[in-house]
Amino acid sequence: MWPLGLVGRVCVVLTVAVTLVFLTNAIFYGQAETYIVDDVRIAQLGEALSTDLRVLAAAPVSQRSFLAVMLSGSELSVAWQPASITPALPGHYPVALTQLVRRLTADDPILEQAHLELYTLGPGSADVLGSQRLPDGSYIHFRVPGMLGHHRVTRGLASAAIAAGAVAIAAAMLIRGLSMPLRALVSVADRIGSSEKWVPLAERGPPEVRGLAHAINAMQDRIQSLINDRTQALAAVSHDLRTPLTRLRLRCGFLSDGEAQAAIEADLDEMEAMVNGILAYLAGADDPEVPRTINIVATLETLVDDHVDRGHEARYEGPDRALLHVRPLAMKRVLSNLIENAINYGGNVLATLRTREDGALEISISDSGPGIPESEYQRVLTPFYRLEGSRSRTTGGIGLGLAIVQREIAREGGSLVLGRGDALRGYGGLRATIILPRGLPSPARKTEGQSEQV
Amino acid sequence: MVPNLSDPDLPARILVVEDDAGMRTLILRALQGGGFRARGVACGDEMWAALEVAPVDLIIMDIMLPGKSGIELCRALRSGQGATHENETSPAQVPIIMVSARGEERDRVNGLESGADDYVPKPFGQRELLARVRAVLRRGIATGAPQERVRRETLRFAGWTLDLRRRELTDPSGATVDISGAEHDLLTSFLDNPQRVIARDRLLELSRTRLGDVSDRSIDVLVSRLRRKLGSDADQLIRTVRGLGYIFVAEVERV
Repeated sequence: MWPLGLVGRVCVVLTVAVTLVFLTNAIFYGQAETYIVDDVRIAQLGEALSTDLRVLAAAPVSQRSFLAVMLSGSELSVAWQPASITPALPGHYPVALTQLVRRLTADDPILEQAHLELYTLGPGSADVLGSQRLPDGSYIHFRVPGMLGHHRVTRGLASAAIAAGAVAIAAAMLIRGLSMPLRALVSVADRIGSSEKWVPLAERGPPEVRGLAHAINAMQDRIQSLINDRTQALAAVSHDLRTPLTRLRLRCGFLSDGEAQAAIEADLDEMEAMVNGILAYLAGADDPEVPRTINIVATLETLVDDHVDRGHEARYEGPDRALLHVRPLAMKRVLSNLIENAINYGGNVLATLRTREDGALEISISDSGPGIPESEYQRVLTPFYRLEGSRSRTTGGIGLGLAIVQREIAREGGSLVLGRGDALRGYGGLRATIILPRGLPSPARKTEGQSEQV
Repeated sequence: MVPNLSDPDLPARILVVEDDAGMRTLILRALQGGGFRARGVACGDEMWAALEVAPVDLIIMDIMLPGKSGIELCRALRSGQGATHENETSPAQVPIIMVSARGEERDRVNGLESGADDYVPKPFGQRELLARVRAVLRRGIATGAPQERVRRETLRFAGWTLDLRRRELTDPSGATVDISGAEHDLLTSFLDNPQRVIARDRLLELSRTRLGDVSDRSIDVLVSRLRRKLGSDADQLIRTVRGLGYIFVAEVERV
C-alpha cells in the first residue's frame, strides 16, 4: 500500500498536512479578509441610497436613466435598469457586506422595502456594488468605490509556504537521519541466523532507536549463545553416540542369528550416517581446512570407482584433469553427497565435468530416478528437510546432504543449480550442477608442470 | 617359549588400551573370537605396566584416554619408551592401531603422524576391526624387517610426490590428486619395487597387505585406474609387460 520508504512516507504526510492547512486557510481567509474601511461612510451611503431611491421612484420612467447619471458622483455612481431586465447578480458576498445590508436596512425602512443587496466583484476588489428595486419593479444599480479594505493574506500565504517547504525539507532530512540507524538495524537483523559472523549495531541516534539497537545487540548475543549451546549439545550427543554405536556393532558381531545380525547392521549403518551427517554439517562453519589446488577429476573418479566396486551403475565423463583451488575434503564430501543421493534415489549416477565459456568449472551429477518437483528445488536445500515419502526409505539420510553441498559450494564462491537431467541419455532424474570459479592462487604454478589438458 | 611376530604359527598378542570398560571387553572378545590373544588396559600407566609384564605384537589404542592421550602415548612409544623384552620387537616398533570417535580426516592424519600404523574411526564392527588387525600384522611380516615398517618418508618419482603418512599424491604442478586406499597400496608396491617386472599375483599380494578388499577386483582394473590418475605421464611410468605383469619405469627417490 505504501511503496515509499520511511522518509517518503513522512514527506507525503507532511505535504498532505501542509496542503490541507493551506486550503482551509485560503477558504477561511477568503471569507474573513474583507472589511469595511470607513464606518462614517456607511451612514452617508445609507442616506444617499435612500434619497436616490426616492428621487428615481418619483421621476418618470423616461428620465430615470438620465437622472441616475446626474445623481452619480465620485462617492457613489448610480445606474437605472428597466423592470423588463432581470438583474444578474455576479455574486461575491463577503460576511462584512451582509452585515452592512443588515445595518442599513435596520436604520432605514425605505431601504428595507427596496430589497437592498450588496456585493463585490470578487475577493480583492475594494468597490462595493449593489442594487435596489424600485416599487414599479425596475432596478437601481450602484457602485461605491474604495469602500472595502483587504488584509494582505495572499502575500502572507506565500511566505508561509516557503517556510513550510523549508520545514518539510528539514524534517525530511531529520527523518532520514532517524531512519539511518533503522536501516543499519535491518541489515544486521538480516544477517542474524545466517552463517556470516554478525557485527554489533552502533548504538546511536534518538533514545528510542538507541534503545532498539541495544535490545537487538543483546538479542544477537542471546541468539548466538543459544545457537552455540544447541550446536555444542547436538555435536556432543552425536559424537558421544559413536561409542555406544561401536559397542552395538561389536556386540552385533556375536549374534548367531545371521538375519537379525544383517538387519541390525543395516540399522546401525543408518544411524551412523545420521551421526556423521550431523557432525559434518555442524563442523562446516568453523572447518579449519585450508584450500589447496587439487585435480578434481581424480576425486570424482575415486568416488565413482568406489560405487562401481559396490556394484552400482556409476560413470564419469569428461577430461582427465581439471585443477581447482578448494578445500579438498569439503569438496570430496560435496561430490560424495551428490553421488550418494543419485545412487540412493536414482539407482545410478552419471558425473560429467566441463569448462564453461567463462572459465568456470561445471560438474553435473545426474541420475535416472524420479527427480524432484521443481517447486521443491529451493526447499530441499534447507537443513533437515526431506521430500515427502523419502523419510520412510532406508536411505540413511536426515536431510543434510544437499544443505551441506549448498553451504560448501557457497563457501567456495560457487553455485548449486538443481534441474532435470538428459532423459534421452537415460538420465532424466535429478541433475545437480555445481559451478565453481577457477580460483587458482598462482598461475605460475599451474604452467610450470605438465601441459594443461582442460 | 615366547612367541613373536616372526613366528606366525602362534596367535599374535594384542594389547587393547581403552578406557570404556564395555568397549574394551567387546574388543577383547572380538579379538579372541578372531583367534588372537588379547589383553586390555584402561590408561597409559596401565599400558606401560602391561608392556613391562609381557611383550605384545600389536597395540590397539583409543585416542581419548584419561591422563595422557593416545596420540601422546603413541609418540612416547615411538620415541623408545617402554620395556623391551629379550628376543622381542621393541615397543617402538610394535604396530599401533588408533581407535577414535573423531572420524574427521585431520584426526586420522594426526594419529598416523604420531606414529600409528592405522586409524579406525568409531563406529566400527568386528569384521572391520579384525581385517585391519590382520592387515597391519601381515604388513609387518610382509616387509620383513620391522624397522622398515615405520616409514615417515615421502617418495618422489618423475616430479610426482607420494606422502606415505598422509597418503597424499601430488602431481608435478603441485596439485593434490585424490587416490583410493587400494590405489595408494598399489602405487606404494610399485614404488617399493621400481624398474622391476612385478607379476600380477605378486602385485595383488603386495597391495592387499593394507586392506583385505582388493581381492575381488582385477589388478588390471586397479592399474588402469591408477594410470588414469597419473594422467599423461602414466604410460611412461607404468608399462605393461605382456604375459608377465607390470613394470614401474621411473626412478624413485626417498626423502
